[in-house]
Amino acid sequence: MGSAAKYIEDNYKFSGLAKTVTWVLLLVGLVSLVLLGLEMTGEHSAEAHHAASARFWSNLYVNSFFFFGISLASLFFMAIHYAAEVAWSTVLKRVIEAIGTYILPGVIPMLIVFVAASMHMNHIFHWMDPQVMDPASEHFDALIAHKKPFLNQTVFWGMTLLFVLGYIWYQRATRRWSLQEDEQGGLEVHKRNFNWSAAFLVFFGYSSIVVVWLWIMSIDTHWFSTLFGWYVFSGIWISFMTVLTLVVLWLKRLGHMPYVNRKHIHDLGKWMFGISFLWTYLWFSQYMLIWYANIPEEVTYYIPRMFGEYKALFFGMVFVNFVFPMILLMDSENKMNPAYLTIVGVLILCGHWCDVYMLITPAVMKSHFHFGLLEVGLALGFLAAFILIVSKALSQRNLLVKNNPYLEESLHHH
Amino acid sequence: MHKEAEIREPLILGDKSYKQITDDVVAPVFGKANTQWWIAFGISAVIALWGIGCILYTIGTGIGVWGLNTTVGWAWDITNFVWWVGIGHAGTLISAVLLLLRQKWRMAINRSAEAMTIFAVMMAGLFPLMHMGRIWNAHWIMMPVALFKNNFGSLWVNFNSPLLWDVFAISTYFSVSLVFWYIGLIPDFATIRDRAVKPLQKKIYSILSFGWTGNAKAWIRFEEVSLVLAGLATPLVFSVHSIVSMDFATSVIPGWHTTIFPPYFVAGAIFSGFAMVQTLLLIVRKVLHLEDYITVKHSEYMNIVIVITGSMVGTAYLSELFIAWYSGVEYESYAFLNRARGPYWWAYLAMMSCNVISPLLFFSKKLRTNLWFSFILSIVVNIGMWFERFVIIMSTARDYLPSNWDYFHPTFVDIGIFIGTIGIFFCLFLLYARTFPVLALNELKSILKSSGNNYKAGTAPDPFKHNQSALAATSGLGKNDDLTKIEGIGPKIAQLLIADGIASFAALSSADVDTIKAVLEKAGKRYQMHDPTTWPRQAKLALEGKWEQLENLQDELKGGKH
Amino acid sequence: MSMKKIYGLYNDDTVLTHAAKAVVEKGVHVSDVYSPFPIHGIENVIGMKWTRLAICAFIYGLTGLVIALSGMWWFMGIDWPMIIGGKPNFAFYQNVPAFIPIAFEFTVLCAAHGMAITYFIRNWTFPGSAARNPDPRTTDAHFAMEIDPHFNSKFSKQEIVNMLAATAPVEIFEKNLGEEKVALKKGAVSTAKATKKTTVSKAVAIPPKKAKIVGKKDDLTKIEGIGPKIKSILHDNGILSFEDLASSTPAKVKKILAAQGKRYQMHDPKTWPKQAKLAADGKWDALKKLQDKLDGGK
Repeated sequence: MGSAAKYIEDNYKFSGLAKTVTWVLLLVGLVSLVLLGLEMTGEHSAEAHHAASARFWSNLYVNSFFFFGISLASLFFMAIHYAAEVAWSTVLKRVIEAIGTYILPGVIPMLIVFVAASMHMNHIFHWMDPQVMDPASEHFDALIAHKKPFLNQTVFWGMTLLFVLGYIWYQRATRRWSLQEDEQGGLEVHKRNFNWSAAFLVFFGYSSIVVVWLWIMSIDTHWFSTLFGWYVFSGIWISFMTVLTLVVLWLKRLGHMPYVNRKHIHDLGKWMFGISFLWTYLWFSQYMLIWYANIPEEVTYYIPRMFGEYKALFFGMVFVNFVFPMILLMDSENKMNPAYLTIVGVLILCGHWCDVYMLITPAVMKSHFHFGLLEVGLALGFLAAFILIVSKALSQRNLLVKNNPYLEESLHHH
Repeated sequence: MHKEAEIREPLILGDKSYKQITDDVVAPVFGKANTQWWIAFGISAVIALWGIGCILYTIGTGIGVWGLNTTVGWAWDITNFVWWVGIGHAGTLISAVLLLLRQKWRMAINRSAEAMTIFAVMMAGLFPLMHMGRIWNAHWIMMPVALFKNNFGSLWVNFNSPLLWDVFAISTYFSVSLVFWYIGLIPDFATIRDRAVKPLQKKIYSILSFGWTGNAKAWIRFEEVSLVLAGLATPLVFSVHSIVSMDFATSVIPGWHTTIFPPYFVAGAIFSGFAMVQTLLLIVRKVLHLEDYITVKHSEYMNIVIVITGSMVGTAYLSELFIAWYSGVEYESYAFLNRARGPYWWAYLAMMSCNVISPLLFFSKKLRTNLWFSFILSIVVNIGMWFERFVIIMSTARDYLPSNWDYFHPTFVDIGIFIGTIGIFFCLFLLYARTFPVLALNELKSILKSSGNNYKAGTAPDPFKHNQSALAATSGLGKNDDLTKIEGIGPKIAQLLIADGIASFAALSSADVDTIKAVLEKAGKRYQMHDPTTWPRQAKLALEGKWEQLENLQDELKGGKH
Repeated sequence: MSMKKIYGLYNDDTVLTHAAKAVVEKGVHVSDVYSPFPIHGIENVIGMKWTRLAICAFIYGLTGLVIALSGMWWFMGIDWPMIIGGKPNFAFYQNVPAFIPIAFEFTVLCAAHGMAITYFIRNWTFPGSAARNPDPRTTDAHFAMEIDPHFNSKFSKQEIVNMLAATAPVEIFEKNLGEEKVALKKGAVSTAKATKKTTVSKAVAIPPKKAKIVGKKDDLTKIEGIGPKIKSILHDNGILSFEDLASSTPAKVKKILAAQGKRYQMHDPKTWPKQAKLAADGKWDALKKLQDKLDGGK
């Protein structure tokens, strides 16, 4: 008895003005992408061509990674939800799952960037240039050549495919099992979820660091930081928490999810607040140690970001990502207030987009910094694609799960 | 009331009531120490005395009696300092982070974990104090005021130095943990105060309990303070060991300067702290007979935390190793190679096997629910964590010229002080276990109804049924009489009758036997066998106050039947 | 003052919460609840405000932050500027990362200790303070609800006791801080058990004199001319109920009043027995008419 919980009908349909706006944004994104692409063609000097190419690819990569990261973090959160026997988020499970579904379409632009890089259509990954590894070449770089056992196409593609397939498998499996649990009940599915989630956490723990080295840290090929993996990971985690909160608030605004009460919203607010602190802590740890020791090998990373064209964005995003959640969400009433959460959510989502921009662009575009409407347009286009995919997943299933052993506890969360 | 998922295992076993929880937890305070306790205390006291002797010898003679020398400036003492501080991280983590995450299993372990934190940080603080040499000048680092005046002005301590950050971090952490712990203890001291019989005991616990009253407003404040302190202590826990790590990481020494140090030290601290909590609580549950409160499930949860933080530490080791190679900085690479294959290879091996490999065994459910295995492994983990600090410090803290390299040998004083701190720590903990409420009474009571075995199983008495019968019995002031005085009527039937309007002796005495029968039949089969024939007659006697006659009648009857 | 506070003692938190709801619904003001652990939501039931300690903590923390930052700015930048490790202290903003750890620690230090001290002051609990819980069992497994007659003048004590009795307490008593408690209704459950075992259940019974006090204490202030003070004087002198007053003579009452000093001599108790008789008989309308005719009992 008891856990054979009631079934609450709650179907979401993505329609109306919001849908129209999303499609328009998608169009804006496509137009921006085309315009960015057109910049590469035409008659330019070699340097201008190089700058246009760097702009096109780095923008594509920033947005690909940012939204892919959000769905990746959703898998991590789902795994924690199971492994730590968390109850309160059970009512949000369908939303977490829906955000996870972006991972499969989201990986496509990533792969496009990687394939293009491997085919030398872009120079995001400096080390993919065979000349730097070739002692005979004038572009030979001994330090990069030293890293060849790790930074080579075989390792890069082998690890990328292995890890991405692992993530996609877990995403599809949990989504499938979730429906299975709805239909058949019992504890069998739950136990399977628990075991695989624990295993996934281990897989994710190691793989997330390695993919960050390969995908992001190797862009600044000379530079290294042991904390980097956890730092990037905390960034995608807070982005996901924010997106989750915003989606839940949006659904509630439309009258869905009546079972999500103030305390659930409070918990979401607390997570946003807490992970913002975690991110800031890791940012500070890395920054302060490098600043304090002042070793040439390490400070190279911060010099262009702190003193060059990127200065305003760099300090601006740290300020936004730390100060806004800290001040606006410190009070517990505010953590339950949809207006505050929405304002802070939108701000730090922009802030963390800038963080990803800061991770990638300065190393790719170097001094050709250019931030214009096309950057914004492309980001909005990706956002629209993300919204369309997540909404589709949301409308496919009832918004509340059934038969989950923690459902009853979650519904009575207070 | 909070509805807990049935799939969750109960956190309080046995058939407990609020009263029973108090009785079980305060028993050691009022009882006499058993032989086991005296043996354990005796051994700890001897070790502690040896340690204190070594400390006094060091202070009197100077730190030349240690194994440190010109080429090895930081070794044993700093290792022990970091080790103890690390152990002191679990307590506040359990009380703060797990409070914010609403993990109910923390209720049974937080008190002892916090006590352990306090004692461990006290032990940690001894080492830097002694390392100063002139311990009587220790207050200089604590005084943010001008120390000396000379021609230029006042000389200040260096606020840029991680060592001074450490002073602030450790003293803040110690004092805030102490306050957090004590505020939680006050209501439980009040429980002991209100039960104490011996005048001296009553007096002591009166002072300790600060006149705690337990009224609603005080509890509101209590909860708010706990919550805010938890909110403050959570970043504090992170900051403290991060700052300890910065003692090393802000330098430019290969093997020390690496950005992952702050979070990795924090993970390691939680890892070793939980292992120590595991060690102590498995002893406490056995010696103080608290098996119903510190269950196998609690031990399993702690093991899960150990395996998670152990994996984080493992990831950090591997990251460091990998980046040391990847960086292409030959000094960095050499430092790590030297750790694994240099003169201290044995310490490196101990660290890797104890910290990375052995906790992986906890992935097996069978092993992590085995208490003996958990106990042994928790000790293994702390041995490993000691070696981790030893490796980090010793393999790098030596002079740079190979001709100056030296191998560190601890003297008997070094060993004596370290073992001695373990003795002092256990002395304090054993004293604590006898005089303090070792479990947080007020918090345990607050989860009894959601997580107690009897409440989860539905076998606990329902307060509302009790309520009804009490209502029937309290009838003197209202209209209702105590109908149970009628032979044949128990509390249940009394309830039924009251519910049907037959609430007083007067009503019962004038009631029709058939009417009463109908009432009983309506209530189900269980009640049909009762025969109410004599009840009106009995009620009449009761109404007229003829108790003796009633008793005589009742003696004649058998359960209300002729 | 002999207007003692009335307490209902319960042995379960849920029962107490329901009891509090029940009496509050009837308009009783519950001044406090004593419990061995925090009862969630009880503050809403009895209409108690949440604490603002968190705001204090914020202010203390902010103070600490300002002290720490301005202190380090002055020590390191003004009083004795130095370049340490290539980092010029005299440019505060350039050196700020090195100041963050101590600024953070000092913020936490001030916030935590400031709040803890405020907490002790607000609770007025210090080492050696006397405990103010009405019954020692409220720190163990019992829960007490406190009703102060001062805030419940529309109810007589008997009415309050009756209301409490209907909510299944294990005991009802009245008590002033630091005094012995006086049972108003003793252990419902235990008495019932005792009765079953043996009829000699008088071991737990209340001493006869107090029992009398207990049994029939009426609100004498309903008599025109009697205020709370005089009521308590009469109670202390054994005139507890309307019947008691009705059967006594004006002369006797006058003597009681005279013994209390000059202030009470001017009162004329001539009509009080008459009024009390009407009250005892429940003839409230008649009493009202009589009172309308009288002026202050004269």
